[in-house]
Amino acid sequence: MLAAALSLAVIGAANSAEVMVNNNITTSTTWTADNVYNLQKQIYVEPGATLTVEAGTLVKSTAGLGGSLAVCRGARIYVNGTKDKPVIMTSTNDDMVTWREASNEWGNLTLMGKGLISASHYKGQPVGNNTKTPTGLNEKQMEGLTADTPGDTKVMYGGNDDNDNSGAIHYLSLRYGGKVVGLANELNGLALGAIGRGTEIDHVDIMNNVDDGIEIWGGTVTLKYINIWNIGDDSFDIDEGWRGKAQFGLIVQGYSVDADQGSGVGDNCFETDGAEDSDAQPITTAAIYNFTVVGQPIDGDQGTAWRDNAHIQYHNCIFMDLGEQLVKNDNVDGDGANGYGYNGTLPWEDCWTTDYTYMSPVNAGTFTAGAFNDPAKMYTSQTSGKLCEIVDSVFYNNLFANAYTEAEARGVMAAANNNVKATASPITEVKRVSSVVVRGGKNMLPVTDINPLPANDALTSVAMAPADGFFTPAKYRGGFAPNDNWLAGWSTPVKYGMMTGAAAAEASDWSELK
Amino acid sequence: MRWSLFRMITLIIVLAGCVLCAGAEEIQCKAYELALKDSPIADYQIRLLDAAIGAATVIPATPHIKDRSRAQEAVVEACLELGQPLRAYQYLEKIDNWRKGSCYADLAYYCASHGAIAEASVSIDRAEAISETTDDWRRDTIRVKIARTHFLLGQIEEAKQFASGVVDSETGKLETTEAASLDEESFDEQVKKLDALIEPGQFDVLKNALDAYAQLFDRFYEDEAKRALTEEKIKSSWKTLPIFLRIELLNRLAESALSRSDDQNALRLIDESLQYLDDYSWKPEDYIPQISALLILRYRAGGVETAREQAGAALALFNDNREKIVNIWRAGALRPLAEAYQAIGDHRMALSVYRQALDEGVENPNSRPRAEDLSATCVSMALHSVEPDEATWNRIDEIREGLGQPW
Repeated sequence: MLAAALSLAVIGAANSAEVMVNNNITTSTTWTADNVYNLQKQIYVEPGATLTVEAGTLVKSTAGLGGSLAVCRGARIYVNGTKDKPVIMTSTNDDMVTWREASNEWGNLTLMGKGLISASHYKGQPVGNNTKTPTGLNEKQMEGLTADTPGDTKVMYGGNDDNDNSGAIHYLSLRYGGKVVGLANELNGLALGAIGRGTEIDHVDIMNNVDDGIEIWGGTVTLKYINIWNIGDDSFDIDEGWRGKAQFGLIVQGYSVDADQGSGVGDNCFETDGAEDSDAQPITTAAIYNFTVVGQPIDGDQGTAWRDNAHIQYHNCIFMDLGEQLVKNDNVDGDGANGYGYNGTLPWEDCWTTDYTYMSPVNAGTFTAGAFNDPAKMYTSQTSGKLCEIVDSVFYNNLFANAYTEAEARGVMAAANNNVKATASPITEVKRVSSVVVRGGKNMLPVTDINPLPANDALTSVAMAPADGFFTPAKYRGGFAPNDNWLAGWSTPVKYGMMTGAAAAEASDWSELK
Repeated sequence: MRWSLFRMITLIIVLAGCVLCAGAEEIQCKAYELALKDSPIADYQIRLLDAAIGAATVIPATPHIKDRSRAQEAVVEACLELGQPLRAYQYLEKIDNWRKGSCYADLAYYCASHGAIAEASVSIDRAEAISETTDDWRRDTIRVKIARTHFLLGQIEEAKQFASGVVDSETGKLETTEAASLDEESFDEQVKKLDALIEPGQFDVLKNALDAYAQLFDRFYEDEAKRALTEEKIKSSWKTLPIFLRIELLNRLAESALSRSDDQNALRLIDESLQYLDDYSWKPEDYIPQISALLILRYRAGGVETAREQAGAALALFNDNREKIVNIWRAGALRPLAEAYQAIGDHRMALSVYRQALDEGVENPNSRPRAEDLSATCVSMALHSVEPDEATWNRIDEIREGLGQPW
């Protein structure tokens, strides 16, 4: 069993044992802080099993090998990090104190659940027996995972339970990841396929991933206190009908390696796809409050990219230093879906003027599935306003010629939306190094120091998130309250010395784990 | 999400209040005992319920509080279904999260529907206190249950107060309760009210409104015109409902027909339901529970042989596809089939399939899914009056005793 799956070697300097993880986790087990766990391959936590990771545990996988961790449907993971003792998943090249120009050194953390997904088509072709209507039977193979045998359910996500519980993740730092073994594609820092609202995710930190920072496919998972830095593709990527909520986040765009944009150099801050195909259901319908988004001012892409009927509300956010547009209608995702307005769905323009209560009749014949008796519900994240909106937010230093063109066309700047084009920085401090030119001539201005606490127009807001049990009413704009940097003590930018202000002094001492 | 410290503390205080105020608790227990009695059920059913709550409660609260509480709640619900309010009360006290409030709300409804007004009120207070410590959909689940109890007690204003402002998934459930006791004169008014709920097309509201129409179908079954109208309302409004919910609605209508011995009408509805089932592609673990529910109705409508054939085909489907079903979900596919066998009078096969479910439930090496399956199988056997033979008792005990690390 577990003893056979693991082999131990002592690493002297830290007085902790290195546990080489070679086999899937089929029986529930606990990873303890007195060991360092080294993933030697793609490791699955199989259905029925629970992996508990103690506070302060280090998972440090051999650089270049592609060790990775995936939690299957019906399995659980409990990452029990704390502010003082976060759980860190990184590569053996991480000295734990210095930021490096690197990524793609190990895999990632993938969770697969039984929430509803819309995944009827990919690149124009039907996906299995999936339907455009949410029968609860749709499932899809997770990006970057390889089936051992035809019909291998370990790599599949999707189901009929939006209340599904995959466990809980608290205070987790993911660094330098994204590597896939034996495949050309890449892994996202934290991949969430069909994760239900019964799963808890808060205080997650992703630094230098080669692909997206977080990608969510369908489900209803909620996230709070999320930090995403120097991501090689999209910082926060959404697809296949996510209907969750997120609040309190920091996105800092940059690059992790000298590579193509999308494989080491940041692309969009938020990239939001509705469904595959775009007339399928469930459709992405989500609410995001209190994010601070710091873009790449020269060659970063969009603040928010919209595709395939995504319906997202951004409230109380900061969008600053964007390389291109605040709102960009990509319309399609390049995966063969057909964009807004397809087959009788709402046209792009109408999504910004239609009340959140609107329910598309297209492919609603099997509109939802799930455990309604437990009690499930499909579209509950938005509780006011329009299907698509950006309100009560601050925009600053977005200097691209058309930065606001589409946003203005969609009414984002209407007085009723309480948005502010600021003339003074909405955060306390941000410092960048001078230009780093990466592949393709992309000009990066990496952030070296930041104090994300609010300033000026971000210090207050007109409205705030509803007190619904998940959201915290917060009467300010951006991810941080005045004088409360929730990244203090546990996060990578603090540990790597990239945070200024009072939080800089609160780095946990991880030197013993180098 | 992680609960805020404030809410955690509040919940602890509320739960502690329920448990630690010994004097008050004693009085409340006495109050329950004075007005409510557990209905007589067979000893083996009590033993099964005890085994079920035991298996659920042995799941460690850390980190499995959600799984544990969900399994415990299912046992409490079974107790109420079997007329065991005192047992339900004892069991619900073992629950350590918001589902305790949900169970108190269920108990309140039970008390109200059995004339125990004071006990209903006490249970409502406890349910409400717990609802205030929890999240959006969890809170609203409890509040709507409370609203339904107030309605049952004739406390309309209180009912409306609890039902207002809840999430959409709960809107319309009060109307279902109203529909069950509607008088002749109020029918047209109720139809208008339900049509208004349906009109915006909001999914959850629509679903609940159609549930209310199904209730009207039953309430006015003897009135052919009203019956036809409610069936037509359901079918003309359900195009945004998923197939399995349409099947559920049809099955409910068939149930109403069967309760009036209108077998011909029941068979028409059952055939329609089967058509929906067969028109779609299902995984075996999704298909078997649905065909099981349907074959019970067919049996009751006189289709005895067809029902038996369908049960046999469903079992063969499971056995042929067993390896394709993840081991933690196999017992969940078998239980409804065992229930169906029991319902069609094949007690030997019912017990056999339950035994198979018990064995499948321990295929996974971890005790969390094992305990969940054991609890669910015991609940199912108790609810459907399947008495375990000695070998099955031994197997239940053996599985129960085997629960432990790894969880």
